[in-house]
Amino acid sequence: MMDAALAKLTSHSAVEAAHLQDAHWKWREKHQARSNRFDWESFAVECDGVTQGLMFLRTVGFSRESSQLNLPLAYIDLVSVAPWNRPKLTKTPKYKGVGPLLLGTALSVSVNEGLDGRLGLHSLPQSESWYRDVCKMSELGPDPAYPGNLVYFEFTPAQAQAYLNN
Amino acid sequence: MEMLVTPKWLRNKIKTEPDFEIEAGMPTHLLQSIDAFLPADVVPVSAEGEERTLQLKHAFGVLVRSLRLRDELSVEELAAAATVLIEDIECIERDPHAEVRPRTVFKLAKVFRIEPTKMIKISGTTIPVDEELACETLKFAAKSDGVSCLNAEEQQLLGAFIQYLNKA
Repeated sequence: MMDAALAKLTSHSAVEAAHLQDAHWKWREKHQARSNRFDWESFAVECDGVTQGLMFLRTVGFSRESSQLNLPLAYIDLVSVAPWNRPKLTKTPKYKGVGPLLLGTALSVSVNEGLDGRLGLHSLPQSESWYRDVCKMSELGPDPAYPGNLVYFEFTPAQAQAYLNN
Repeated sequence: MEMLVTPKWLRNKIKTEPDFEIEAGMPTHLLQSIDAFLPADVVPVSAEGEERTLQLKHAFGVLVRSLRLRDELSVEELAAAATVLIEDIECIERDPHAEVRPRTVFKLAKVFRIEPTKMIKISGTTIPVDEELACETLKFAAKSDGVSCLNAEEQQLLGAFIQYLNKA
């Protein structure tokens, strides 16, 4: 059933198709390339001995949002949830809350590192509404410098606090 | 690290947030295919790159020490002003092999009133891509001999380098 869902969805855009191919979790190489670097952190959500979600976070970045321009921020390089937890691939996701947990973790890192909750990321197309409408991040438009022209979002300190308090 | 989210917070999010996709960042497959596995200003470290990073970290240590002496601060006083550990300052000034947290560099930039982006680029915390900045930093360090106080010539050299950093 999962394979059929994947096959159906790979008929959509190239970005989305490639992302679905990531369902077999080729993240180990990325982690190894960064494992000795102090400005990269990686997080995995595990349950029942299986990785349910993954995030690579960089603690060196600078804000583009006008009220926070050039102030340091944390940047989510990659965040992804296991395919069996994704509502687009299955009508009955096995675990919920993996995304908010990872985002809450990223915000915790930002605050702990003295970055006041500032956080940036490039959203995949299917996730834009979550970051814009649910998380209420500032949407800074498609980024022509980023492969795929993905839309760039940022949390200001106030927005981060609102998300954490909500 | 202190987690700012609690199980109660997460249960509330699960209850109230709609089921949306949350994926961000390039899919691994596309990153590999366009040879952009890492962001443009972070590249895999080669042996040559590691040597360069050590040189830059040494130069950064000379800069921090020079700035501390310029401002007539002891290591303890600088650590207090920047709210960082004394050990972090000592490591930065004496040990190019020490790992420096970006947060420490940001705090030092604030105390010394230098643009944080420049401090990060010359700290060895990330791989330097700005070659001109890296070269100027190494030149500055080569001319400074790190004695216990700065003479007039060293003051001038430091002033000129800070001016360059803030302009570049």
